[in-house]
Amino acid sequence: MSDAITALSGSSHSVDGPPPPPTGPYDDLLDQATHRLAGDPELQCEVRQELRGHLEDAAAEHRAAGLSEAESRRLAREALGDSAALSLELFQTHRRRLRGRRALKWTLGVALIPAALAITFAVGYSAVLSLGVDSTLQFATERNQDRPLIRAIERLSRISFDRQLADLKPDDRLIAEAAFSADIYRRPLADQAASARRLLARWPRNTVYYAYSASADFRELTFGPKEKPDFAGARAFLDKMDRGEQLEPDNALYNMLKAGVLFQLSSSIVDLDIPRSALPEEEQAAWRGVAIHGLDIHDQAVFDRGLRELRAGWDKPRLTDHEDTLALDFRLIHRPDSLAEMLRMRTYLRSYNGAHGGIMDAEAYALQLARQNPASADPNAIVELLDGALKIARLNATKERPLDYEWRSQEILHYRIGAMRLLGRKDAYAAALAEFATGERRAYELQKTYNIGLYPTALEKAQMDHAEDAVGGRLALGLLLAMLALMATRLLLLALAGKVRDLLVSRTGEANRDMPNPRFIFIGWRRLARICLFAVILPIACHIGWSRATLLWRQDREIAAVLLAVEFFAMMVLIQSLLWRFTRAAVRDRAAELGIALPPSAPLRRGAIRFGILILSVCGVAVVFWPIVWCLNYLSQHHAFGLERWVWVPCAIPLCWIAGSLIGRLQQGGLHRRTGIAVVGVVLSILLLSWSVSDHAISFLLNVGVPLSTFYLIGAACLLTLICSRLLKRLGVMQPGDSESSAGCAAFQRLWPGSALPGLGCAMVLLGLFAGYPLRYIEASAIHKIDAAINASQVHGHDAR
Amino acid sequence: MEFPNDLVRGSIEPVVLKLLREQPRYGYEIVKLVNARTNGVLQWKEGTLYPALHRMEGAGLVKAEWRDAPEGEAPGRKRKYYALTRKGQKEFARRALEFRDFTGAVNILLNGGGQ
Repeated sequence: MSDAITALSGSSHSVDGPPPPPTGPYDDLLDQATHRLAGDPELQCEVRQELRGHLEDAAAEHRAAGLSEAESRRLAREALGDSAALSLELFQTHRRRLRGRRALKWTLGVALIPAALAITFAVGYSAVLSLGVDSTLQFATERNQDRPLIRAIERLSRISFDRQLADLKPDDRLIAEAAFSADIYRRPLADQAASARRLLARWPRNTVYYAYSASADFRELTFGPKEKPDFAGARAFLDKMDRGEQLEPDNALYNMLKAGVLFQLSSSIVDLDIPRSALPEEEQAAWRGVAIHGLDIHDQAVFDRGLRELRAGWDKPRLTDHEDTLALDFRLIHRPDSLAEMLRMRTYLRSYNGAHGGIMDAEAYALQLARQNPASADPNAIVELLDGALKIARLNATKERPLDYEWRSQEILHYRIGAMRLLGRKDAYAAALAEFATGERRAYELQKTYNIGLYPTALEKAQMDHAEDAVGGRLALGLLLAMLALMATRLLLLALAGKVRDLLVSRTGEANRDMPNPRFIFIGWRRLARICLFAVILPIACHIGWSRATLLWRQDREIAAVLLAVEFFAMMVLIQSLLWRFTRAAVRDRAAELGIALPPSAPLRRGAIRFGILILSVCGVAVVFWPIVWCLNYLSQHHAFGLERWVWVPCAIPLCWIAGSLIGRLQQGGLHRRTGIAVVGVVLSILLLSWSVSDHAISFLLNVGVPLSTFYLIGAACLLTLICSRLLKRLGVMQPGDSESSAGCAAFQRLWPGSALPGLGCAMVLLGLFAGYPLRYIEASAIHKIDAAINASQVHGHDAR
Repeated sequence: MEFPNDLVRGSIEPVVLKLLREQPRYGYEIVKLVNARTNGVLQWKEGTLYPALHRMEGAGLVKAEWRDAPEGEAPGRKRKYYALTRKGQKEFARRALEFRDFTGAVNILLNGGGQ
């Protein structure tokens, strides 16, 4: 659409040179007849063209009758009548349009640009929140919370959320402030525990709030390995857990939390530092990437008390901190208003509740018992501990997504394998190894499913599919926004270039030719409708059909996000190119009608072929580039060749260079340094920006967002290359085959003079109209879908009060 | 023969509507046709035609379209063709009736009728 705007703001002059001065035989007459229309240069052009055609037809007829050239012209001029009267009559006829145009100019100059800037800011801000840029930054900068930039983004992000909280009733606000899932901005643990205690103080006999408060207290109380234990706090905590156990005797949570605290008071987990090579060969794979833990017990009596709590807990029917119920309460109060918020709320439900600590201690203690004295160790006690750990993991499984449960089970199996080997129980050892291999395959399959999304959500696969669709939509919308923003930027650059050119021309005194120079050319409603139909509506309709059809085939959506990204990107390129070509053609047609100098034709020669090659190359580069980045990711994760991962990051730069140069070659028929420099510049800027925000941002780019960052890099490279090359060509700075040295100041003399500032304003307003509304619509629809899926499959909750 | 401006101006629109009802035409073609069909009796100042055409375009009675002139006539030249819209057809029917009644009434008066 914004290329249609380009057409609207198109200029009258070709880059091949300034417009020729009016030397026609009727120009003086036409000037007199149309000078009152100067307020609307396009109308003036059109009327001049029509009258000129009339005069030329009349003169041609006289010539055909045998009159001389001069006589023919004279008679044609006479027949037209009094030019002053004609001028007045034309002015009266078009008076309303001329007034309207004057008002429009005033609006464009005074009101539209500020409005456009306001809309752009609003859309940009909404996009940042909606596309989860803030959460992405938070995720990437978890250990950089103190940096001012991160703080500023957080503050900006939570303004609207805080306002919503402030509007709640006092009781509702207590819940909203306490619910961990509501705490999408991750307050300090002490704040969370305090708000949970306030909630409990309001409803002291409520089992949900009691369990939740206990869990929050535990999170606050958890001691680090070097921290001095808070014995007084621990004692109060244990008392609180005893009361909780009386309140809800069938919930294992209180036993688990007590065991966790008692273990932490009496022991510390240590890394046994056993090299993998020291283990039997068949066992080595099972311990890949896992440290073997032992226990340093310094108070056996307290530790045994912890074990007793553990045993009491794993025989109970359930283990819950009721966080999901509280989340449901919260969702009854507050509906998330962006997809990012929705997914974050789901993500944070999967939080630590203290059971993991108990599992880890149990399995480490079991292995320790086996290691200390294998001959005299009681195998039944060891097996009981490991089975108990597995029971706890199962009880806790509802809290986790299936993949986490699978990982937890695998972890317990590590220790079972080790313990069975030490105890010399060959059958159990072989069975544990086989079970591990089966579980590993299962985890691998699950991992493939869960790694396709932007968010590690706690959703099941069916819900993940819905979320994937939503993410795809968001991605497409992000691209659309980016494309429109780039086009607006391009318009701005053109406007600036035009202004510079106008200034240069006025200084050199070349201006003020009497040839009208419309800065707006309206290409006509019919052409506009045709462009919208063929360049926008049809491609989108085709893609909708395609995506609906492929959704049916794509049962195993392993790389759905990547496929969606490639599809959407291809569609964006298609729309952009069609818009470009059609609008240029329309502007040229209109310019021919008006009798003004034609803008240059589309720079893509043999258009269809080159366009097809471009699309294929974009997809091809994406297909080739993704595995390369994946390899880099693998190398960076595994400290290959003993090098730190950041060493591998610069390796991406030559690849970007090659990609950019290849695209530049397609576009300009030669390997252009300028394009390569531009692409590498963008990539370096992204990396530097990431680096400045966080040390972890790069690993985020390479790990979590491998497919997406690849896509973004390629997309950015392609778009930038397209825009740069076309912009440079349009501005006359670079022509096909030009060397760098030939581009210089002289090119400014060939710039288009049209002022694109009104066009920029229109672009911004359209940006708001075209991007803002779909943004909200797509989000609302995605939220509705996910919400329905969650409600259908999971929520059987109740109002805890 | 030159007619007073008011008389000419009042007749332009019905005449143009009549000619455009037959087929789309461009300005100079309309002027030539008027001259030809009235044997030169009705000779407009050609410039007066265009404001009238633009007025009718603004009122939605005619629509305009730029087309290439035929190769044999004026190669490479664009001409603005006007065509009658549906609204223009209705307007022509109304104006034709109105004009006929008006001229009939004036004729009656001028020829001494009605007395």
